Amino acid sequence: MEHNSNSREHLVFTLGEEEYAIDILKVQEIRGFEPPTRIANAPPFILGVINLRGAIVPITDLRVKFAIGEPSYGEFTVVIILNLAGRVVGAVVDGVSDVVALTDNIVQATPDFGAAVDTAYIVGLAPMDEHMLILVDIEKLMTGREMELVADAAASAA
Amino acid sequence: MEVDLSKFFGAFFEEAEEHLVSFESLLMGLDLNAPDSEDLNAIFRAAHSIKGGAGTFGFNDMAALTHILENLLDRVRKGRMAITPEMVDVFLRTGDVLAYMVAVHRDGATPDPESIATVQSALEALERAAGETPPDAQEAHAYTSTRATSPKDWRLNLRLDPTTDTRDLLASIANLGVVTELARQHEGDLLLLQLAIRSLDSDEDLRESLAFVLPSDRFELQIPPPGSPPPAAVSVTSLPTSAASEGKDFGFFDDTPAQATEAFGFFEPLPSQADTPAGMGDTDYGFFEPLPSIAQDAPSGREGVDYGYLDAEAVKQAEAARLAEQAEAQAAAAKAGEASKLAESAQHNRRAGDKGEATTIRVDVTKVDQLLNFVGELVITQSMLAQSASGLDPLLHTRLLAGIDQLQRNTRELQESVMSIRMIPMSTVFSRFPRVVRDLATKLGKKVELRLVGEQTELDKGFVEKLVDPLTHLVRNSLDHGIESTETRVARGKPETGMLTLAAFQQGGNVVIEVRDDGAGLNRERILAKARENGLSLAEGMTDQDVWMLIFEAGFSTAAEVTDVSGRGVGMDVVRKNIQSMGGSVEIESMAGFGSTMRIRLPLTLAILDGMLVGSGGETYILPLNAIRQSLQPVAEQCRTVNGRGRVVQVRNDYLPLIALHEVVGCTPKSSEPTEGIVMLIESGNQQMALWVDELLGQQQVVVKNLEANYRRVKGMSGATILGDGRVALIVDVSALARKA
Repeated sequence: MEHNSNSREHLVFTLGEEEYAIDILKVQEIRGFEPPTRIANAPPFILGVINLRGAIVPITDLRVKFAIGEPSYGEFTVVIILNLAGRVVGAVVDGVSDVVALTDNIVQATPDFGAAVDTAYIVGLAPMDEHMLILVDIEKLMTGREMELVADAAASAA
Repeated sequence: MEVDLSKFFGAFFEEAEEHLVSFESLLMGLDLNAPDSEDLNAIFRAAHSIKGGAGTFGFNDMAALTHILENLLDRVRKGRMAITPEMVDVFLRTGDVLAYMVAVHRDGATPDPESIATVQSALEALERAAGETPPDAQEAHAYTSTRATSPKDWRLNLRLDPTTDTRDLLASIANLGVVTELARQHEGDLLLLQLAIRSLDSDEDLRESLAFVLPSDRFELQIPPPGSPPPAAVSVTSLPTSAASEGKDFGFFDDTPAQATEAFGFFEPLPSQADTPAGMGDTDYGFFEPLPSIAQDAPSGREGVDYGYLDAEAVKQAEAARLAEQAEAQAAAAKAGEASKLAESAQHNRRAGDKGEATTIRVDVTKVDQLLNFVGELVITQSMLAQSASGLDPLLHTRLLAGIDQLQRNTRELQESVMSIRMIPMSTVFSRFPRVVRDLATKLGKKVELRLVGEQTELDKGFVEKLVDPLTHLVRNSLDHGIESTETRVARGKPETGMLTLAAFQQGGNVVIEVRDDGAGLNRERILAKARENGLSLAEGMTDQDVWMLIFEAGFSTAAEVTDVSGRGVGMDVVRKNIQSMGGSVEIESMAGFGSTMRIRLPLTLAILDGMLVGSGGETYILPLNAIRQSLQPVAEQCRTVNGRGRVVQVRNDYLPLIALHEVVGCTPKSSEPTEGIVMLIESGNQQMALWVDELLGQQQVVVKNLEANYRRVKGMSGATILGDGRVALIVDVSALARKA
């Protein structure tokens, strides 16, 4: 960013105890969880597909993907519907808490965690009141090879 | 202003193709003994439109060829030349070459000049044979850039930005015809330009072409006021000053009158000319016979437009000739005013007629599909509403329930209408066959009459395109192998003209297309012999049905020798594969000596599938109904294992591989043994197998959706659909199962 004072809106959601922030422009809508149709031989974090007003949309569970928190599905479970370069994908999270404006100058670089967490998708960390927000490049994450959501990624995984 | 016409090429090609199709079908339908003048006119118009477009877009080779064609057609439609079978042949061949040229130009290549020259000389030979053309008229025909045989005059008023480069603009307009600048003045911050334009194009064509160059509110196209002297009839030498003094309205001529007047000197120096309103009132083409020596001088060459065939010698001659004509011409001009009124009203009538024809619009198929998707959603929403409303007390919610009923009706009607947009009549496929049959019958020396039945039967557009090749193959087959030679037919006591019938009709949720011939029928012995030769395994005492199906095996041709008609290219196996890929099937009925019938059965549409809902492990899957042969509950004796692992089911005398759906999709079945569940016998290609499911849930038409849009291909599934309760169900890919088996 050229201007450090650039401020952009982020959607904050929780996975277990952790709070994540993603660019709100990638979010199409937020809706309640409905049981998806399971897809054979899909990885466990792909729960299946749902009918989103006539479109068939895959649903992932980020809690399963990152092994954070206990995946439970109830009437308060939230699905963030993301629109990533024309593809619509749903992500199940524990809850959506806030929309915040983050300026780039408060974002700090991600410390090196070693091999435990792939920091490639993490843009940085930002303090927010008492909490710490983890900024995620959701597009990079969802279209990445290991999510197996996109055809070529799946083909190379196979 | 640079105008890149190339972006409009696509539209031109598409239109040219359509014109060629109608050109061909009209020619085929022509009764040579008593040709219908309407048809002749329509044929002429098709050729004319192609020529106009080709000229506009700079495909001069096409324009040149159509020009000759058009001349001949023009003479035919005016009854000055009788149409003969030879002419129809040459016209059809010209149509083929034009279609070839369209195809080549579409690829941006240059057509092979030889093939063009062949038909061109054939056309010219016809012209000569007609004997009507004065010998030197050939030159006029060779002069290809002249796009008009009898142009019309228009007045064009332009309101331009003064910064516009008028030279470029005029050059682009000059592509449409011969342009003369009449007046130019500045008014406020606008530049007003008045032009006289002389063009062969119709009013609408001109407007369309102009719209390429200018915004539509910037130009105004008018028929010149009645009584204004048609330029060619006016003396160049005696009138310019008076014309100029008449000001804007009558100012056909300014300082460059010669261009306008000489532009198309296509007027016949006959006294009768006085009877025809010169140029301007001309609603139809060809009031005037081309007079070649004058045509030669088309001085548009002076304008630097690419017409440059100017011959100084000819100009002088022409000018002399014109001076001599002036007296007559002026007399003509006097009558022109009167006549043009009549002509104008005639033109009005014609335009009203045109409007009646223009009741179709071109729409991108993806738009229609999108509409179909939205309607599909609406149907689901509606059924969900209906479902939740079913629990309400009808007494308390009368109005709501009535509304929901109404919604259901409306939704269904809407869905049907939208589906019908994708449907096009079979006649679009059938229309090519008269030609195919005619050519082939001639080539094979057989007499064949083609009957088309049920051309109005409608079929999904997606199928129509894919159906052409298989159907052509079946027709060729019937002509080549089915219908006997004339001698054989006579010897067998049959009428010497063979009968080939193409029929289409709807049967339940299917469209059935039949190719029937009254030929020799299939030869059982020969097919069996050939099958043995090819090493196919044959059962004893096969039924005729089974024997006929053998011809769909790969590499099967019973033709005694390979002709250039059949026995090469796609085989019957490809026909069957194509039909099956559309979700259809082929069957044959045949009786020796009486003929055979090839029957293609297709579902009504691609977007909708007749599905069987099956349950496995509590999940719902959909099997395409057309793949299902039978479903049964096997007894323990029918189920065997091979090597302790692979399972087979014995059905009658066959052991079919048994696939468990729950193993394919990876879930826990409710039935622990096949005997507790249901076994579906399914067929894919020529492979049969058995599929073990928990239960049958019902049969339903489903809208097919793809999974790749937001996700990716799923192994073993061909797509997904949305059930009445709004949930997604996956459609099992039967051919993938077959590969697994």
